[in-house]
Parts: sequence; structure tokens; C-alpha cells
Amino acid sequence: MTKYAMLINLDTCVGCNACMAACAMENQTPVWNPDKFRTYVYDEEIEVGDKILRQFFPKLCNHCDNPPCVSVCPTGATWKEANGIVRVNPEVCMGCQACAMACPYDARYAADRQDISQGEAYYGKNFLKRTVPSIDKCDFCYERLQEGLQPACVETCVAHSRIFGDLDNPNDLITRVVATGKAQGLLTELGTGPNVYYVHKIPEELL
Amino acid sequence: MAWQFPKMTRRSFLKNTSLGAVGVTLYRPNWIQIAGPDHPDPEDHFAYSICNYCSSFCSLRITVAERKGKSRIMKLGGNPNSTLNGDKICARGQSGLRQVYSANRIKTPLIRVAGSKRGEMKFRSATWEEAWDYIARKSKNIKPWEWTVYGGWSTCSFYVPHTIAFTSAIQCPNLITSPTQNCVFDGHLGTNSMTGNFVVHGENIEDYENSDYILSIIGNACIGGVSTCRAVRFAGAKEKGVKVVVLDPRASETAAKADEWYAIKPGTDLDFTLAMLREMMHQGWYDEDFLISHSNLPFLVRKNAHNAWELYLSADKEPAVIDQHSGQVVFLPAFSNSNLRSISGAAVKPQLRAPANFQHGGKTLVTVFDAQYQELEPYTPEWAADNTGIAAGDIRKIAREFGTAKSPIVIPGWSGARYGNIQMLRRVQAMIQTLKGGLDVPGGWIFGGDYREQVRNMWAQKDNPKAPPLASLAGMPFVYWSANAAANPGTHNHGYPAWAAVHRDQTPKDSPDWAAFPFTTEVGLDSAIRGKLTWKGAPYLCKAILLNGTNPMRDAPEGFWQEAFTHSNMELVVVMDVMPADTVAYADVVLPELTYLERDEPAIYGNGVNPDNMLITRYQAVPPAYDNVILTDAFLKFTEILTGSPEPYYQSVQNLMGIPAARLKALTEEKRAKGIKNPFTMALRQMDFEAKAEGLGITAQKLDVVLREKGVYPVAKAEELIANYGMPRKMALPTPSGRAEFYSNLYGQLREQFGLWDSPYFSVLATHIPADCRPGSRAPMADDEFYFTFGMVPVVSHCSPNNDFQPLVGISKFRGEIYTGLWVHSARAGKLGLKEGDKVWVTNQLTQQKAEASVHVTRLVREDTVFLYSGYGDQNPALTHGYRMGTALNKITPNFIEPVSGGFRSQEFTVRLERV
Repeated sequence: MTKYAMLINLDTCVGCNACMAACAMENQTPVWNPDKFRTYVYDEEIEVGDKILRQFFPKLCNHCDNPPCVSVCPTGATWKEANGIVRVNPEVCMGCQACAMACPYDARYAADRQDISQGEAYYGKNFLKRTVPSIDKCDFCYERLQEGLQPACVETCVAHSRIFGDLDNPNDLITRVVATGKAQGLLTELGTGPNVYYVHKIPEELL
Repeated sequence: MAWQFPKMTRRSFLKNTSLGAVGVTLYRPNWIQIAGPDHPDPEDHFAYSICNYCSSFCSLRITVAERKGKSRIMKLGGNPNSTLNGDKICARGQSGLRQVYSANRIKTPLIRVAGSKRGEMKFRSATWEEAWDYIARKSKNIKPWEWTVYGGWSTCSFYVPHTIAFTSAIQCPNLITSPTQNCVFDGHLGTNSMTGNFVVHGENIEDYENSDYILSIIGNACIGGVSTCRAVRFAGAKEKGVKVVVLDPRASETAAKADEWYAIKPGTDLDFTLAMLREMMHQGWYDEDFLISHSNLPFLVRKNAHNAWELYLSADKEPAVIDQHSGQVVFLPAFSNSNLRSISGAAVKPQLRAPANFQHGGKTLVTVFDAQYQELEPYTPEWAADNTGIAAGDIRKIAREFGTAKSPIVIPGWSGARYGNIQMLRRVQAMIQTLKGGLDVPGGWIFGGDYREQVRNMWAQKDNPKAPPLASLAGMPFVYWSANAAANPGTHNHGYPAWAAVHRDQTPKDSPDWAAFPFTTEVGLDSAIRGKLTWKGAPYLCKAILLNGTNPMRDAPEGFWQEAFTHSNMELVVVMDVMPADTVAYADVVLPELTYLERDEPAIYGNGVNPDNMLITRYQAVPPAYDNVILTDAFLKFTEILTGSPEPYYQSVQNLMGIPAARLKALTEEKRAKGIKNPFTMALRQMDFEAKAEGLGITAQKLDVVLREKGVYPVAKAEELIANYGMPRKMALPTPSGRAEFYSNLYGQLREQFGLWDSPYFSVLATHIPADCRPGSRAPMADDEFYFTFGMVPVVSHCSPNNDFQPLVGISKFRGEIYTGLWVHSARAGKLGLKEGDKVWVTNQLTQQKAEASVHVTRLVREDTVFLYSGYGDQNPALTHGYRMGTALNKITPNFIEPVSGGFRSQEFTVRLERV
């Protein structure tokens, strides 16, 4: 089978936000609203021992094994594909936002009617990827994957911090890193089974 | 409720994710060549171009869609076929398509409404005929020397030769370029004195991936600022476990990636590097073989009549060394990459150090190494520790780890105009790098393939008196040629030199607005506008200015340009730009420039700092949305308006660039007759395709096919270029001596020309110049007083105001005060009662300039220092998205310059904060 997942190497992310811009342009997100990106790079102050350091922390939908957003959807507009990607069908979504509330990662937002009409002017009426209002979120660039491309954020990541792969492929870098036990998902204690893994450093022998 | 499980076509996108199988590639990480398919979606196609947002010049692959007879740029990305950046570009690059589709873009020529004032942004749309006619009428009585041409981003990136040829055609001796005083010709000049570069960051790249130790000193722009081609290689290095050490008063993006981050006291970086250099020289942490062979460290020097170190030269100006074998003084060729043959051709092995009290011809001679060693004596790690706040033990440790590393890199640095001592800092950094022989070696500073080819061609043409200067000069030799032409009254028939030269000669050397080598800067422009300059008894005024792609109202100290543009002597201001930058508001006429994505370029270029030599150009991705002009065609029309004919431009392009005028003119007119827009640019393009193809031994059609399909034409690989033309091991550097110059002939020549024997700014060796942020004051800082620092933010670039693009605005808003606020340490903020988001006045204590800022409370900055990301604070309301976001840094930038090149001392002051 295929089980898509992402690995983020915190050691190399330089906080340039190329991923945020690439995703926005690729997926035509409502960039006029800073709350409506599909992915964010958080810029954090962290304490490591007695030092205060700066850390960049990219976050996105985790395409959970056990997605709360899918559980609560009353219309079936959102579902998890066999390949692991959690998707939304804008035609079916009625915008109740139960999924957005259920997601512990705050990964979903509403692309409303205003966003659609603004999008027509912004992205070009005949070139729209989004024509009806609905909940939106990262879909691992589903259409790009169909064409043999990587997700836009992964392709453009200048620091090789976002790495994409198939956890069912034992030869994949992401699979080998996850197997070391050194990579962690977020809020795993909730039982969501996130498929975005974070590592502080990729062991050199795996690269 | 229908659950859908659509069929998934299994394509082999995963084939490229197996890394490390191929083995180490020398000058770029393997994974940047992860490529997508060669063909996009059937409804889309690719176009290839070059990004416009910084000097990294990333290679672009553009996805264009066709729907209902219209085409649209859907997505920008890196070009996987380019070994410069592969398929990666940064956030600014990704947002670049918004330049084409921005509602705020300048669509038509604009003429300032009669009765309005410059700066009010009151324009009316005009036709091209009206705009040119307006310029013609207003410039009728303006003499050629009363014009100033200000070449901004378009010029700086690829159009330097075309711009210089233009100034020659219109007989204008006055050329300013940007960003000179804030970047290229300030800090860079320090590095140039060692290596002979002109634009370091456009000519060199650091081979991070093969380095084992990376040291960053005022160097965030190179990596975190962000430079994609460098970040890519830096990440490769991090994956291999490189040690990264960063000196920065605040946690920059680069500091966030460091193994050790030292929050150095602002302005003391030079103190640190002097101590480090001293340590390395004392401990023998240098590559002696390299230094005696390819640097001027073994050259003999003595103190001259001014008690200044000076080279001991023969009557024919040849340098001397002590030969290890004979112990005798031997003269070497004045210009060479190597010290291993004397002027007679005999084999020589120079001594790095002279025997004690070595006498020759009645003089005591020492080597440059000895002299520099002596000069460094006071700069101990303890001395530096006192000044920098970094423990002496740590300074020694860094020196030792760098000095004993196999392939250490000290980042040369980009925008360095911070303190008067920035050039000296960059010189010492270059010395540190060169002591280890780290030029053109794996894990060192690598010269770009294109630049290397230009230098190689320069040496090949050296004895050809007919070589067109703009096609046969590179690095500092190009600068000297251009500077001499500007200063020489004989360059133009009218006999006027540049006002910059007149200002320099008519201004006392100790005046704060004097600079010895103000290459294409605005030093003296205010004098020219105010009417303070005279030439041969007559007033020498600047009455008209043409600016393209530059925004001095935001990038230069505010006030200077406000006065310049609004002065009663300024009769005509013409601005060419894409977006309504703040400077646009001050124009009389605005000419809309065609965006980079909508244009074919007038030439084929090298691939920037890519160590591989690849050819690249821009292909128009979509037809132009508006009737806009390309810079080169604007120059042709200007020539016609100002001289009565376009002929002089065809002629100067031939004389200076070597492009045959007759054919160029014929092709231009042929294309114009066919209704082709920007025909001169297209004619230049056609001829460059032909010339480059001929050089490659292929047809122009074939070259076009390859460039359309792949976006780049590979010419030579880095390994091969370095093996044959490595500088200085195989080929001379473009320094006056051809060697790496620890003893700087650049500064030596300036000090002699101006008699500045005592000024440390003109020292031929490394010496200390303190940064003085509080001149004349030894009092402790006030409770609300701080050192001031600024830095580059990775979502804004100085090249064209892109902080009006909503993806970038959105990201900045998400980051909030981290990006748009003033960083204040939480301990100080607490004492001052300041919270996150509070508004404060930030007042420059030297000039009382002030600006309003929002506080960002953080522990990521020194307690005695505040930090502001630059590039925000646009004041033109026509930039509806970026308008007034953040603080305009240049509101508090003083117009203080250093005396060598006029570089801005843009953070050499303290500020006080006061709640609004």
C-alpha cells in the first residue's frame, strides 16, 4: 500500500517561509487573510539547558491515522484516502466547521464566499482551483502527487527540511528515520496518530 | 453520504527520494536536483526565466496555464536543471507572479498632475507619446552633465553594460547605482581588496556543503536572509554535521542554526576578528605553502617617510621577497598569480618571515607577514574580550577550531554598511579565509563560473587595445576603468567630469561628506543639486535625474532624497518602475517597466554564482499585460530625445560592448517595422543568441531549443573550471598584483593619492578602527538607551517593493511583531513598562531622527541592544497591502558616511525609546 507522510528536520529549517508562499500560490489559498494559510512556520523562543534559542517550527495538517475531523463531519465531505491523505470535497462540505473545531492542530480554516469572490480577481476567473466555499486544509498537494510531483512545500524547501515519502516503502528516507525512533509526531497522546514527524537531526548515516 | 475513494494513478514520483545513492557531488547537495516530470499537465506548459528578487538570481521554471484563449502564470518554482538552486526558490521568488497580476502595478505612463507637488502621488495616466514628449520638453535646456542616471535593480542585475553605454551615449558623466552605499561598494570593498572582486555576493559562493566549520559575522543575509542557492548548500552542510558558529547581537535565522551563538556587542566584530587573526598568525594556523606562493604576505616592506608600511619595490615597481634557498632578496614580476619565479625566470621559494633585523640596501626590511604580525600585537583575545563581551577563552577556541579545521569558511558577508569600520572587518575576514588558503577549493569560497569566465577572458584580452571594455573587464579592473572614465574631464566632449569627482576635489578631506572612492554613489549629489559645485568657474548643477528600479526614498537615509527630489533646482525627475514604490511618488514622469516574467531578455547570461558555468536567459512566460517598456528600449528612446538621434546609443553599445552597430540598428528597425514591442531589446537578444551560439560552436536555433526545453545550457563544470582556472592557484586574481593581497594596493593607492597616511581607514594592513556609537560620551547608557541593529527579513527584498504582495504580507502579519516590531529584551522592556505591541518612539541619539515602532518583547537579543527587521514601512498609499506595515528603517538612518567609499554608517548610533 501507500502511506504518505512528511518528515520535518528542525535542524535545517531556516525559517524562510518559502513553504508558506509556495503552498499559497500552488493551492490558491486566501492570502489576504493571514489566518488562512494551509501551513505555517512558527518562530519560537525555546530553552535548551540554560540557553535561550530561536527555533523555526513548520506545521500543517498531520493526515492523522485516526482523524477527529473525519469523525465529526456530518456530510461525509471529508474522508481519509487509502494512501493516507485526508481530503475535503468542497461540493459536499456545508461549512459547519465541526471539523475545524475538532482538529487539535488547528489545521483547517473556512474559505468562505468572500474568499471565493476575492479569489476570482486575485487568481484569475478562468484559472481558479477553488470555485465553491468550503473548509480547506493541506491535502499534501493531492493533484501534484497525481502528476508525479512532490507537494509544493517540499519541492521548494530550500533547506531540505520538509521531506516527503511513503511509510510503507522501507527504503524511503522518511521510513528509515521514523524507524530509528528519533522522530516524533505532535500531540500523540491524543491518539490521533499524526503522520507528520519531527526530528531534531537526521542521523548522518541515513542521508 | 457518499464516501469517495478516487482512483490514484501511481506515478513514480518516489524515484527521486532515495538520497545518498550517487555519492557526494562536489559543489551542490544531491537533493537539489530532485526533479519533477519533464512535462506538466497537458493544459499547462513551462517557461524558463530568472528570479528578480535578489542577487542569488535563482533559475526559474514557470508553470503557465492556457484556458479559454488566455494564458496565466500559475506557479513559479526553481529549475531542476540548474545546479545553482535546483527546484528551490524562496518566499519572495514564489510570490513573484504577483508582480504581474498586482492591481497596484504601474500599468501606463504617468504624468504628475499640473500644480501638484512631488511626493503627493498625484498622477494622471498618459500615453507613451505624451510621456516622451513631456520629457523632451522639460529636458530641452538641461545639459548632459546636469543629468544623473540612477541605475537600480534592473541595472544592477544584468544591465550594467547597457546602462554605462547609455550614459556614454547621452554624454552623462553621472551614474549612481544601488545598493552601493548600503551594500555592494562598502563592506564588499574590503573583501575586494583581498580578492579583486567587484560584487562579492554576485561573484562568489561559499562551498558550505564541503566545509567542516562555518563562521558567520554580520552574515545573516547570506543564509537566513535568505539566499536560496546558499541556504541549499548550507543545509547540505548541516546534514553532514558541520559546526556552525555565529556572532550576532540577536538570534538571526542563521544564529538559530548555529551550534554556538555568541551575542557579540554591536560594533565590535572587528575587535573579535583582529584577535582571531592574531591568534591564527601566532599559532601557525595557516597554509604556508599557499601564502608564500599566491599571496603578497612574503613581500618585503619597510616604513616610509610617513612612518607607514610600504612595499619595497624595484625601480620598475616589482615586489621583492627573500628566497629561502639563497637568503637573498629577489624581485618578482609585478603582476602574476605566483611568487615562485623571479623576474629573470629563476625558481624562488619566498620566505614568509624575514630574519630578525634583516638589512638590504641600507634599510631594515620585513615581510608583509611580519609587519601585519607587529600591527596585531595589541589585539589579544583579552583585549577583544573586554570590548566584545565574548570570553577570551571562547575567542581562542573559535580561532583554534577555525584555524585547525580542514575546510573552514568565514562568510564574506553581504549588506555591510553598518559602521565606519565595516570594510576593515571584511578585509580581516578575507584575511582569515585566505590564511587557510580557502579560495577556490572544496569547502572554501568558490568563484562563480560566469565570473571566472569573465576574468579568464579579461586576461586573454589584456593586450588587445581594441577589446571593448564592457566585454573584457571584470572585478576591480572594471571598477577602476569606470571610475576613471567618470572622473576624467576628457571622457566627454563637453569636458565635464562627474559631479562626484568635482565634489570630492572641492570638499575638504576632513569634511563629513567626503569620500575618496565614491564609486557610483550619491556622495556629492546634494552639493550638485544645491549649486555648491563649480567646474572651470561655472556652476555645476544636477537638474535632472532618471531612476530605474531603485527606491532611495526607502533605502537611503531619509531626508537626503526628500531634499534632492523637492529642491527648486531639480527640474525633472523620471522614474521607471514596476510597482508604485515610495520613490515613484516623487517623479514628474513615471514610466512603467515590463516585469521580468513578461519579458525576453536582451542577452544570455551566466548562471550567477553557480560554480558550474551555465548559460541562462529569460523567456517571456505570458504576453505582457500592458504596454510597458524594457530598460534597454527606454534607453534608446532617451538617447533619441536627449541627443536628437538614437545613433549614439548604437555606437556606444558597439564601442563599449562590442556589438556591431550597423546590424543592431538594422535589426531594430526591422523589428520595429513588424510591430514588435521593445524592438531594440529583441535585436540585442537575437544578436547575443547568435554570438553565444557561435562561441559554443552551435546554431542559434539549437541554443534556443535547449534553453526553451531545459532553461539552462551547461557549458562547464566547476571541477574542471577550478582545475584549470582556479584563482589564484592557476590564474591571477583581478587584484593589482594578481595575488591575494594582505597588503592592500587598493588602499595603498588611495592613501597615496590623497595623502592619508595616518588614517586607519586607508591602512594597507589590518588595523583597529573602533565603532563609535556614542561619540564623545563615556557616560553610561540611559535607562531607555540601546544600541541599534537591523537585518534582512526573508520575506522582503530590496529589489522592487515586494512587500506589497499579499502572500508576503500575510506571512509578515502572521509573524506579527517578530517581523514588524522592534526587538527589546524582556528584562529591559519590563523595567520600562513596555509590553508586546506597545508603540514607542525610537530616537536616534546622534541626529534626533525618530520613527514609531511596535515593541516585540524577546530574550533573543542582547539586553543593551534593540533590533529591527529592515524593508518595512512603505509610505506610498498606492501600495495598498504593504502600506505603513512596520517601521521605515531609513527614518532614523543618519546620513553619515565612511571616508573610503561613502558607505552608510547606518547603525553607528544609539537610540532611546519613549512610549508613544
